[in-house]
This record gives sequence, C-alpha cells and structure tokens, in this order.
Amino acid sequence: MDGFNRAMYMLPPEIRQGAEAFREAAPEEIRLRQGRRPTALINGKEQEIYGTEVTASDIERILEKITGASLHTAAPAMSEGYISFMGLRVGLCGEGIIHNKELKGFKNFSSLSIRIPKECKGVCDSLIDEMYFRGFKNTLLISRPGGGKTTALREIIRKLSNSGYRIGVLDERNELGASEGGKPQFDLGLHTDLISSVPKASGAMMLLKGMNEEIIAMDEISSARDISALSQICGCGVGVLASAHAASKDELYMRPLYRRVLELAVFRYIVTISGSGTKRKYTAERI
Amino acid sequence: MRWLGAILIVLAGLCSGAIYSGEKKQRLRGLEDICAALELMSGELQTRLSSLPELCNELKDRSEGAVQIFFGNLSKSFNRLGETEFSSLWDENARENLKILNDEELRQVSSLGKVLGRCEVERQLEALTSVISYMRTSLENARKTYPQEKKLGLGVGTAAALLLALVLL
Repeated sequence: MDGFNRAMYMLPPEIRQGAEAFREAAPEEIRLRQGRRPTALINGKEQEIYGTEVTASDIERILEKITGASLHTAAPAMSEGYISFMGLRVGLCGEGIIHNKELKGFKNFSSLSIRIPKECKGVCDSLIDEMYFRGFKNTLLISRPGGGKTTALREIIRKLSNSGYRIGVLDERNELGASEGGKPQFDLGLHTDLISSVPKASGAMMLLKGMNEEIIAMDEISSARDISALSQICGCGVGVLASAHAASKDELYMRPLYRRVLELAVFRYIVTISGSGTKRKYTAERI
Repeated sequence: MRWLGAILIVLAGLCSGAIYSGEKKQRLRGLEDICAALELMSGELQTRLSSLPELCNELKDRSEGAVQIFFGNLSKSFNRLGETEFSSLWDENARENLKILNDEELRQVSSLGKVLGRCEVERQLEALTSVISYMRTSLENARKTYPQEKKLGLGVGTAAALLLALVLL
C-alpha cells in the first residue's frame, strides 16, 4: 500500500471521497481542521478538498482508526504532538492534558495533519556522488519542516547501503522505514538495520553495542536527548547521518540546541534543501 | 383422557417455572462473567496498557456465554472503526448481546464505551472501577434473591398449573 492509500485508509468515507480526486497530484499532506473543509498540501500550497466541513467526530474517528480506539497506547508519541500509523506521521493539535506539570497528550482535538511520505529514488544521486566520492563524511541535512529531509535522508541511506556501507537507522517516529511487522515499507538498501519507535539515545547505544554499524542515521534531531545520542555516537569511529529543522545554516546558529551540535564539530557536510515539491534543490556545504 | 390433560398442564407449569429459574441462573452467571471480564480489563489496562482490540480478543477467549459473544462481536466490529465511533460499536453490541442485564446495568456498561480508549488510563480505570462496583452490587443482590426466585418460579408455576388442572377436572 503506498503512502496515499494508507492516508485514504485512515480517512472517514465522507472525506476520503473528496480526497481521492487528489491522487494524481500526489499531495504531501492532508490537513483537517475542525469546522473547515479539509485541504491537500500540494507543492507547498493548500488546496481545499471538495466535501463537508471537518467535524469533531471525523477527527475522533480518524484517531480511533489509527490507534485501534486506544489513544492511551499512543500516549508517549502524543505527548510529542504526533502519532505514527503505518509509516505516516499524523500531527495533532488540541487541548493539552497536563499531569504533574507534564504534557501527557491531547483531548478535544482541533486539527490533524497527515503527512504522506514519498519514495523518490535517485532524487539526490549527483549530490551523493559529489560528497562521498572519497568515502562517507558525517552529514547533516537541513530544511524547513516538510521540506523533504526524510525523503532525502532515506535516499542517502539507500544509496550508501547499496554501495556496501553497514547502516543502522534510528527511526524513532517510524517514518524513515515505515516498518510494519519488522519489514520496512521503504527501500532502505541492502545493508541497513532498522530500529524503530525507540528513542534515539537508547537506540544509539543498542546499535553501537550490538550491530557493529559503520554509519548511524537518524531523522530530526530536535531535543537535548537527541544531541546526547549524537555525542554517544561520535568518537566511536562510527559515521553519522542526520537531519534537523532549519531553513539555512544561519538559522542553525540561531538555535542554542543546534549551535551545540555544530560546536561538537561532528558534521563535515551540511546539505540544505530548498524549494518544494518537484522543484527541490540540494546544496552541500563543507564545514 | 382428562387425567392425561391434567398431568400435561401440571408438567407445563413445572416447565415454565424451571425456565424462569433457568433465566435467573443465566443472569447470575452473566453478571459473574461480566464482573470478571471488567476486572480483567482493568488489570490489563493498568499493568500492560493493552489496546482495546487486544483486550477484547483476550476477553473473548476467557469469557463464557453472553459476555463471550459480546466481546467476540465487538472484536469483529473493530474493522468498522473510522466509519463508526467506538462508543457506538460498544453500545450497539452491549444492547444486542447483553440482554441478561436490566436497563440500569446496561446503561452503566454502555457508558464505558465513551471512556474506554479515549481518556487517560487513570480515568478509564476510574470508570471501570465504578461500573465494576455497580455490577458487583447487582451480582450480590442476584445471588441473595436467586434461591427465593428459584423456589418462587417452580412453586408458582406448579401451583398455578395444579389449580388450573383442578378447575378443568
């Protein structure tokens, strides 16, 4: 089942009917806001999906479908603002449930964003050849949210893996591999080992101790715990391939968290992804 | 011929009394099963944070009678999630399969559908505890009244039949 079909599977029939019309346009996201018509994000722009307005019941039904009517099982991910389902990330908005000063999840959901991953084989082949012709160098991919980091990261992993590198993938949000029943739904290459739905810091130690990897790849460094995972990996003779939210290198320096990443001097390349949809541009900078 | 008719009437009275007390016995067993199932559900939620499909599958295998049918049908209806809300599926199945319960007991069980899987585990456990406590009280009452109801059913059935037979004779 491809990403679009998986997204359709989780939508209520009334919304699915309208959304089917966008199949050919291959939307990046389906967005649902209570009291508004659903929209499809295509090439960075939202287009209204024909049909009725989204109701609270529609959102509840989607959440019940993706959690098996068991929101409590998705609580850890919900406290991060998303739920993973069959390799799709569903972003959530609503009223937060705070318990002991800690965000436990959401109730009275107001919006959902279903991100539809794509497999774009060969999308950054020339970039990979240019960067790694003398062997792999630690690389950080950056772009704005939804800018194609995960797709590019998946591609680099696949290409490096097929060229012989043993790669361990820390797929905390189960987006890179979209693993189902232990089998990745995306092609991650011949020599790739995947740990999914495990926090990066714990997963990094598992891969280091148990799997003898040459490169460890992780998506979206976004917290101090992720930096701790990075610092565990570097200095062990293992290469690092990662991604982070930032539109440019300057933006990286603006955030203390990423400043720390750069100060660790782990990365030799920063790849900036700009543009959207089919017009994405990949620029590698050596640091 | 008259005597044969009278015997048949008495037998019919006895049978209706037996059916009545059988129904009471069935209700007693049903209440025991539902209490056990809800307690198991509460324990599984607390210790393993099981999902509802897992729970219903397990409860289907570990229950009997009407409660087994309820969880079995509920398990099957999970493929309708996305089209129908879980609370409706739960309510629909409870009304269809838990006919051994009286209106208030059914209302209590149905109310769980609006909480299970939706709220934080603590709130789900609170709701389960409250319903279990209500069902336990119903079970205790049913246990207390069962011997009397059994005697009453058989007694009234037989007596009425005897009386009718005598009148007809």
